[in-house]
Formats: sequence, C-alpha cells, structure tokens
Amino acid sequence: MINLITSIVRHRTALVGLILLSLVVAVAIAAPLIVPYPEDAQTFHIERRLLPPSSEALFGTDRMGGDIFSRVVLGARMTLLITATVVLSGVLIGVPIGLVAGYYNNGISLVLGGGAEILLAVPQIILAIAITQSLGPSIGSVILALSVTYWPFWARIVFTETRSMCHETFVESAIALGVSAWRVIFLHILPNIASSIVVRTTTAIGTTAFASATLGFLGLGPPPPSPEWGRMIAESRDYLPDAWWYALAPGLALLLTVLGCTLFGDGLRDILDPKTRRRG
Amino acid sequence: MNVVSMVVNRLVWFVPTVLGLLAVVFVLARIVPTDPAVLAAGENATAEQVQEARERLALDRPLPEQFVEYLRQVVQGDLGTSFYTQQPIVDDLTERLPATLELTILGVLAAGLIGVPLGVISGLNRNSWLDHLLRLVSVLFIGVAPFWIAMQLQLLFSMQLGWLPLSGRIDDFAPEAMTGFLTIDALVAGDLQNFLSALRHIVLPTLTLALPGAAVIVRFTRTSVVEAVNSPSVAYQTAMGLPRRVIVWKYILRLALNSTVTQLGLVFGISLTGAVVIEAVFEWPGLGTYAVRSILHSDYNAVMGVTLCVGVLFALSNLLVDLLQMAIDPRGAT
Amino acid sequence: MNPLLEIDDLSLTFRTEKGPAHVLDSIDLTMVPGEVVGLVGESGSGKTSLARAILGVLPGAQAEIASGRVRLDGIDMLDDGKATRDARGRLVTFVPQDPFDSFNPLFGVGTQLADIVRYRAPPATGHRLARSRRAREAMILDMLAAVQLPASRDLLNRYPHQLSGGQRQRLMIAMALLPQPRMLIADEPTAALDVTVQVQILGLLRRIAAERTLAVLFTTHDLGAAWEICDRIIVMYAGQIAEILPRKAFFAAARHPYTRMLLASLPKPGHQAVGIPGESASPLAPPPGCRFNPRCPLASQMCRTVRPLPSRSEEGHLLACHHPLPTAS
Repeated sequence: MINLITSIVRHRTALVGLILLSLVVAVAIAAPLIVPYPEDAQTFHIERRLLPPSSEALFGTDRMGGDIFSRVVLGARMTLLITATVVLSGVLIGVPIGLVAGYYNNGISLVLGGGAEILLAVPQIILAIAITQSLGPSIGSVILALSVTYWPFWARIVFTETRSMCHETFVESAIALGVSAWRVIFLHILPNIASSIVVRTTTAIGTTAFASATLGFLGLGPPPPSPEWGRMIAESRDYLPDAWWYALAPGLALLLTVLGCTLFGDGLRDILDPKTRRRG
Repeated sequence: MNVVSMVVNRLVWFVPTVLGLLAVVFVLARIVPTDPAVLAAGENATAEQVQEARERLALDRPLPEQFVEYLRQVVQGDLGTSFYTQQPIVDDLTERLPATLELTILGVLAAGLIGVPLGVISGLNRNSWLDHLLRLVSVLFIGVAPFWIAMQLQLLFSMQLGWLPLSGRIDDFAPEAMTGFLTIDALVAGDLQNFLSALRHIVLPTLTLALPGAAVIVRFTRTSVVEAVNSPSVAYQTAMGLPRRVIVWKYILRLALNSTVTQLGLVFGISLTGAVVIEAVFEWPGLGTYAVRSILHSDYNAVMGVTLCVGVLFALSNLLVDLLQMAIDPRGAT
Repeated sequence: MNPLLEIDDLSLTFRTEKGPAHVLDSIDLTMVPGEVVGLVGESGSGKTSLARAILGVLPGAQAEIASGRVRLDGIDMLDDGKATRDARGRLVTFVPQDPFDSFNPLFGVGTQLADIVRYRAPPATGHRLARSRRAREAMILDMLAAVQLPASRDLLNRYPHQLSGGQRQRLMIAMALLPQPRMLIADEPTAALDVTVQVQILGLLRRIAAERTLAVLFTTHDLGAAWEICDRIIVMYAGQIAEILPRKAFFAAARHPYTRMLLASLPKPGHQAVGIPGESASPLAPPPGCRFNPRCPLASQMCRTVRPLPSRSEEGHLLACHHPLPTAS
C-alpha cells in the first residue's frame, strides 16, 4: 500500500490525475460552503438573467438568472452521486458475474456471459436512453439505467482475465488438489486480477460521468431546475451565439472530471501492470 | 482459426445475442407509461377506436405470444409500422441508414487519417516536447464531451464566422438516391453545387465524431510504435546496420499498424455511440436522431427496429475488423 | 598476422535508476582473422555488453565509455561516424540469441533477407550484384545452400512462425554471412534451441569460420559448447577478464579459481552438477580489487584491494589472479 502511494506520487500522470479527481470530489463535498450563491440551485433571479461573466458571476448567469459557476459546482454533487453509485453497482454486479462465467465452463457461464454480450451488442447509451424514458426523468432512473447497462464492461474484462488465470499453473494445481471453487476464485484468482479491475474502474468513472451528462443533455436526466451539467449545456443551445459563456463552465467541469479519471487510470495501469498497456 | 470458421462462429453467436437484445427492448417497451394502443389509434380517438387498435395490433395477447409474433414478422422482413411517422419502419430505416453510415465511415476515416500519423510521430519522438504536446491534446479530446465540442464548433464556424451551415445534410433537395451518401450521389449526378453543399454540411459533424476517435487512435498508435521501436527485431536490424529509414518506414510502421487495426472496432463503437448524440445536435437525419426520437415518443416498434439495425451494424463492423486483421496478419487473428 | 579486432582498456558504465552500473572493467582483447573466440561467463558478466560495444550498438542514452577504445580493422566502433555506420552489418555482422524474436513476424523471411542484401551487400561486388531482384535472389539461394537449408523459393516465402527453431537460426546465420563480413558476433546463438540442433548449429559456425577466414566471437554460458568450436576461450567474471585459455590447454591449463569452479560445475558422468556458491557480483557496487574475491576460497587481503593484472603465463594463456592454482594434474 505504501509502495503504491509512493509510486503514484512519483508517476507524474497518475499524480496529476489524482489531484484533479480529488479536487472534483472535494469541491463537490464542500459545494454549499464555497460557492457564492448556494441558493441558486433552486431559486430564480429573473432580473439578472443571461449576464456575461463578471466579477459577480465568474462564468456568467443562465436563463433563470442563476450564477452558472455556483450551479456547476453544486451540480458536481449530483454527477458524483450518480457516478459513484453506478460504478459501485457495476463492480458489484459485473465482477461476480465475470468471475463465475470465467471460472466455470457450463450452462451458467454461458447464460451469464451471453447476458453481458447481449447488453454490449448495441451502444450502451441507446439502452440507457430507453430505460430512463420508461422510468421518467429523475436521478434514480439515471442511476438505474446506467447501472443496468454498464456492468457488462466489468463482466467482460473479469471474464477474460479469469479464463486466462484458469490456465495458470498455480490455479490448475489448486483445483487439482481439491480446493473448493469459492476458495480458488476468491483467494487465487481475484487477488491476481484486482489490478485490472481497479484500472478499469478508474476509467469507467469518466465514462459514466459522460453517459450521465449525455442523458441530461437529451433531457432525460434529473428534471429542472436541478443543476445537472448535461442539461445546462443543452439549455444553452437556445441562447447561442449571444450567451457564448453559458456552456463553458459545465463543459469544463465535465472535462476536468473525465481528464482526472483518464490520467489517473493511465498512471495506475503503468504502475500496477505494465503488461496491460498492450491492450490499450 | 480460418476465415470460414471465424465467420460461422460469429454468426452462431450473433443470432442469440440479437434475440436476447430484442427481448430486452421488447420488455422495456411494455413498461413505458404510455399505452401504445392510444398512440396507434391517434389523437382524439374514442375508447372503441383504442380498443380496436389494441386488438388489431394484438396488444391484448400475452407478452410471449406478442414477442413470437413480432419475430415471425421480422423474419419475413416486416418490422411493423411507426406510430410517429405512420410509415413502415423498414422504409424509415432505409431512409436514415445511409446518413448515419456516411457520417460514421467518414468519421472513422478522418479519425484514422488524423490519428495514425500523429500517433507515429508521437511514438517515434518519444518524450520529446512534441510527444508530450500530442499526448496532452489527445487526453484532452478523450475527456471532452462530444456534444460540447459540437456546440463549440457550431458557435465558432456557423454562428460567428458563418463559414459552415449549422445543421442538416443539404441546402436544397437531395440528389437522386443511389448510394444514399449525398456527397457521392451528387458527385455521380455531376451536380457540383449539391456536392459542395453536402460537403459543407458534413464537415462539422464528421469533425466532432472524428476528434475523440482520433485521440484514441493517437494513443494506441503511439503505444504500438513505442513497442515496435523497442522490439527485438528492430534491435537486430539496428545491429545489422540497416538504414534507419528502412527500419522505421517499412518494419516499425507495419508492426504498429497491425496493432492499431485491432483497435478499429473500438473506434467504430465510439463513433456509433457518438453519432447518437451528435446527430441530435446537428439535426442529422440518421439512425441516432431516429432512435432518440422514437424512444422519446414511445414509438416502440420503431425502437425495436432501430435496435435491431444498430445491433446488426455493430456485429458487421466487428466481423469486418476481424477479417481485416486476419488479412493483414500472417499469423492469423489472435 | 595483423589483428582484426583490437580492444584496449575498455571500461563501460550504464546509467541506471539505482546509480551507475560498472558493466565492463578495463577489457583488453585482440582477435586475428579466422579466429574463433568463445566468451564465457554467467549472465551479468558483461559478455553481451562487450558484444554490443564491438557492434557499436550500445544504448546511447545510458551507456558511457569510461575509458578505452574498440577498433575493428582500424575503424573506431565507438564513434558514430560514417565509417562506423558502414562497418556495422558489413565488416562485422551479428547472430542473435533468439532467432524467433529477431525476425519481424509480419514479413516473409525472404523479404528480410533481401533487405540485408540490398542495404548491406559488400561495397565492391555488392552494389552491382544487389541491384537486380534476380541477382539478389540468386545470392540468397546460394547462401541457403551454404547454411545447409534447402535452396528453395518456397522457404523464402514463409513467415518466421512457419519455420522451426533450427531453420530460423540457420537463416540468421545466412543473413549474417550475406554481407561477406570479416567478423561475426554470435550472442548465445544456441540458447533458444534444442540440444541436437545446438550441436548442428555450432558445427556449422565452426565450418563457416574456417572456410571464409571469418573471425567469430561467440558468447555463451556453456563451457562445453565453447570448447567444441573455439580456438581460444575468454572467461569473464562481473565485467573483468579472469582468464584467457587456448583450446588445447583448456582443461589442463586453467588456473583461475573461477574457471576451475566453472569446470567443476560441468555435469560429468557419475557426478552431480555443482553450482558455484555465492551470488554473482552486482555491477552497481562491484567489490574492489578482484571482483571475484567474495566468492573465492583463496581470497586474501590483497585480492580485496588490488586488482590482479592479466599476465601472460605461457603461449596464448593469460591469467588475472593473485593466487593462481597449480595446473591440474
């Protein structure tokens, strides 16, 4: 663990990524304390709508007169909540399914593996759009839609890694010695593929933040006036080209979040397992 | 594995996957809050008309029976009728498929044309300032949301500079359809004005689609070039005094391209996903807009049809990448 | 005979993350045309670095020449000038350790051989010969016969993965001979091969060296293989030359404790193979004096402070040891 921390601090890419990511998380947690207009998530000020950036509103104001900077910072909480829940459930669903499907070679693994393949057969976003539409726009339906559609990413990588692990001598001999399947999976296989899962999860945080913003952009995210980044970007389209500043802050916030995840993921991959670099 | 067994294997997997996918979408379509019979009967329909539509569409039958009936029709080439356009869905799809194909194919091509050379430059000049710059730019483009780039491009090139059109596929009427790719059709018809119009319309959507793809390709290509530079075969050729230009432009490039091709499927997937949203921003009349609109209108027959269509497209692209890989790698697909 | 290769007082350091690694320490070596010399040592003894120094392909960013020079037929191989670049792959060529990895997997072997002819054929005859495709092919087919491969186009059309290990290594030797070099460096050329194939490849190298008056520097950790084909054997330990022995006196005349331990570790009928106790010296912090002293049973205070200078004890025998053992009876 200490080794890992030293490696991250030494690895420039990983460090920059980690700092960005921690910044986003810290800002999200402290949001109501640090923004100039914490009430702007919900209240309107029609008298100061669509104002360009100034010292009072760093990134301008939106169509309801809300301070865009405040709203973006407050929106970080929502993005973070959605992303964290989706990634967590993705790991909790995908990893066990991948392990079981990869370890056994029978009907169960066929059904589980097949289930993952079905969900990977079209772009995830189409299914996610369909599910959110069925459930109606809310944070809950975004979380559910993304959790249901994104777990196969973990299932697939865990499946592939488990399959190749099963051919390793130490796993084969454990099986030959009559060690129970659960022990082999959790004590021999899981620790060896953990680094792949960690790397995959880091990048997935970025992908999920993207997907949730896309749903918001299409009007399927949390309903207004929630300060959701994708929805804010979509709103701005009606006020272009005059309100050029409108989409700037939410776009940059999304960029910083995804950038942090990509860089940290790249760095972790270098540190944890140089071999995986080949697979990109 | 030879080509035939690879294709057969793909096909064997394809059928159950698509069946499962359709079943998932089918169930999803039935939990929508809107009653499809009401939609089918149209606005201002009486209760009897709705009931009549329900029976006509067999919506009163049990779900599994409806699904089997749907599959029977699909096998006969009938995807049903869209509630929204009131057209057969097959017609809707054939009308919109070329628009999406034109966009994604151009997008992937552009991504390759931008990404491969930059990746090679980056990999050959590893750790130079140019390499660092390219890595930074590519990681930025991976992190930026496609719909956000799309809007910034529209803001700059359409609204402020006025160089390129804001949205749509063409100014006037489309040329007579042959391929459905407006640029090619106009060119075949010798209609220069329409060709230029179609070209001007496709620049921004293509660019939006290509930038993240190019960024991914730059990263992959760079990694594979670096790997090739450090490979034992290059060390051997260097020790044997082969000229650097031959080693780089013949041997290293070939090694690097080989690994880049394996990632093309991924880039195509990214592009198709991107197309769903980018089409919405540019009002591009393709499958993406069709899918989003059908979902938003609870037009469930259309949703099923477009899912099937995209699933086939996805499977075909994966097959194509596999075949391409087999064709260029003498060791066979790995 | 005039020497072909002259190495004087060569010391080489690699910059590593853990500090400088002293890979070669004051190496002196000369070779005459047609001579086959075996360079024997454990991994980490510096034999591969020495081979790379002669080829002039040390990793530029890390390698630092602390002292000395390497001259091949009068050309400074540590230089980066045109003469050196021309010599590499023409005057001196190379047979690598792993023939599979050393081929590019995506090109037919014929293409890779043809490129050697095209860019590395000897300047006098070559350019004219190498100009036409057909002439190149004829040269290659002749060479296939010389390395005892079927002289067929079919073989040239194959990819590396379609050939056996022995075939690949014969092709590597053919590639090394095509430029008609005067010296050949073979870096553990049989390490990746089956035992029976090893014997054949060694025999081939020996015969070719004799037929073409080719100087061969052959690195190996296998004393037996070296003894099979070499005129002289150089025993290296941790970047220093311990002993140089002529072939005929190898077993009898060896006097350095390390050589004797190596000999004793050879598997013999009725005896178990014995390892040498202790770990090989790290080039990061080599012991002062004789680098073998921590593992040497005879080490004295002098061995720990003063480096033994190589001295000529009899014709063709060079020894760097303060306390040489008496010749074996």
